[in-house]
Amino acid sequence: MLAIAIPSGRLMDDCVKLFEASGIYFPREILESRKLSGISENLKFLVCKPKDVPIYVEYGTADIGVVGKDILLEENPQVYELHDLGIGRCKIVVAIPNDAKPEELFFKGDIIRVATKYPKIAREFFNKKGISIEILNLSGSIELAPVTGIADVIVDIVSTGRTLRENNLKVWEEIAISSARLIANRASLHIKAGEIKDILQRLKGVKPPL
Amino acid sequence: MRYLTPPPGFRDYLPEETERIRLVEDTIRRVTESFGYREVITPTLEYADVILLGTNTKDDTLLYKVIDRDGALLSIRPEFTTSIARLVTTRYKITDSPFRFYYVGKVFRNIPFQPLMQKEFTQGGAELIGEPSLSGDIEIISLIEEIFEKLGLVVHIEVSHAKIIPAIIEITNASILESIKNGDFVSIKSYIDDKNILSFLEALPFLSGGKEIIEEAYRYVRYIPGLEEPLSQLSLFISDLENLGYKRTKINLGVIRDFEYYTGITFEGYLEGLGLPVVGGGRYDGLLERFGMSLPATGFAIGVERVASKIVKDGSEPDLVIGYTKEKFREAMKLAQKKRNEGLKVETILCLDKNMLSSRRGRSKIFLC
Repeated sequence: MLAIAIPSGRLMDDCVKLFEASGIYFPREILESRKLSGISENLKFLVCKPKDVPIYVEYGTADIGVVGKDILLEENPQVYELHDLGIGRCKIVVAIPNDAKPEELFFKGDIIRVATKYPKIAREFFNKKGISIEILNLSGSIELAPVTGIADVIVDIVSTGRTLRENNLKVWEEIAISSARLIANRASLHIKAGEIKDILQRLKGVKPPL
Repeated sequence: MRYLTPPPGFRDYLPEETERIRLVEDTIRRVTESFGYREVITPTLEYADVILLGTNTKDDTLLYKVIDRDGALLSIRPEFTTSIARLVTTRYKITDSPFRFYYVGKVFRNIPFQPLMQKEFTQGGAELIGEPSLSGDIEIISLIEEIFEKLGLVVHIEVSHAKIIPAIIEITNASILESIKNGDFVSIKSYIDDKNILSFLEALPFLSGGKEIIEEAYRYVRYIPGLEEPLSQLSLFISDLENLGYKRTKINLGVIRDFEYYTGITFEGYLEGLGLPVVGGGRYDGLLERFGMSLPATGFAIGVERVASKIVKDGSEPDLVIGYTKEKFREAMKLAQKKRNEGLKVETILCLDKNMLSSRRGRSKIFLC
């Protein structure tokens, strides 16, 4: 039997729809209760915090998993990335206060403080640009940081851009585009190739709901 | 002093675990010796430059580094193959080849800490240097299968070829190198226009099985001519292994090991229920040339602790436990001496009363009072 790690929260709702469209049904106890694991047909579902999905897959506790590209870029886990599921689309961006002028902000030689939950992505981006930064590692409500003055800019994901707008921020540069990916454990892909291929083909057969 | 426990990535092994680790090491020694390999010991520290030259990389972030008295930058060995290549090129003549060497020892890698990924771990492996033909690669796989057979473990060895990815890169000129290295089969799509080549890349992680896989992959030789040589080598290789009765080895073109280091047959081995490989290796014909001696080579390394974690074995116990009161010290020591000379493992314990013996492990117990 295969085990699949599913991210909890918003992305899980999209997963449920996408999987149902390809004939894979989530166990009822996961949908209707607070249980975090359950079996449906020949698939064991594990519901994890999105950031933890690659951990379960890397150790082989889950053979496959669904995770955002943003997390893969940040954590760089040793897993195979097999398919773009097309759900959970968003962009990883650098956002700055509406009234800030980038050339003054970034290129006057001051050290910029960057609030983010993606310290690795942020550091690599600014290193490439040759801009000196200090990372402030936050775990949520990143948009609050420039408003309160605890940081100058943020690196975060945006989907509609509404949160940015309502907190007086604007996109300066896009770092990467992200969407949910199907990933597989390296050993499982070898030992359980047939079962994984079957699920992959079923998921490849459906269009992501927009 | 910060804590009493070892730093992250380093750990103690208690007697039960240590016995399982030693069992794996002893088996590696016995089997490789039965193939005519001889053990070598190389230094724990090497010049950092030597290590980087050997692993063919500029990235030294995974190395533990030490400054020597004269200011030279040294590195604690992250693996053995480079040291053995250096040993061969500095201590032997090319006419002495082929060389069959094996090793068992600790390696150190300064990786971010994660459970199951120790920074210090034991590698046991063998290097066959100076044997250019497939028979060398077959010998290495035979060795691995024999080792796991002796350990009573079912290993799944997945074989691929280091020339496959370069063949694709050559024909497409695509910058897919980084994606492939990261196992990212999604972003390659945006780099490759040719439908046939793309469908080969997408199929790659699932091209696993027996000889039939070679036939399936052969269909793509029309689009990627560079595939022909590695595929025909793999085909011969797998047939020979089958004829010799080695059944744990399959072809899996999805196995991607560092193709800037390896030059031919490459492989990884897995055990059921362990998400990480327990053995890996392949042909690395370019390494010794970097040290000034042009010799082909192939080899493997086993992650000893990972394998040991899958061994089922009761811990050992003394054959005899002798409890004694203070007055009986001499008598107890004499008895122990005698029994040890007879080949028994004997533990002696000073006891206040007989009850103290009951909780001790031992095949038989005597209390002298």
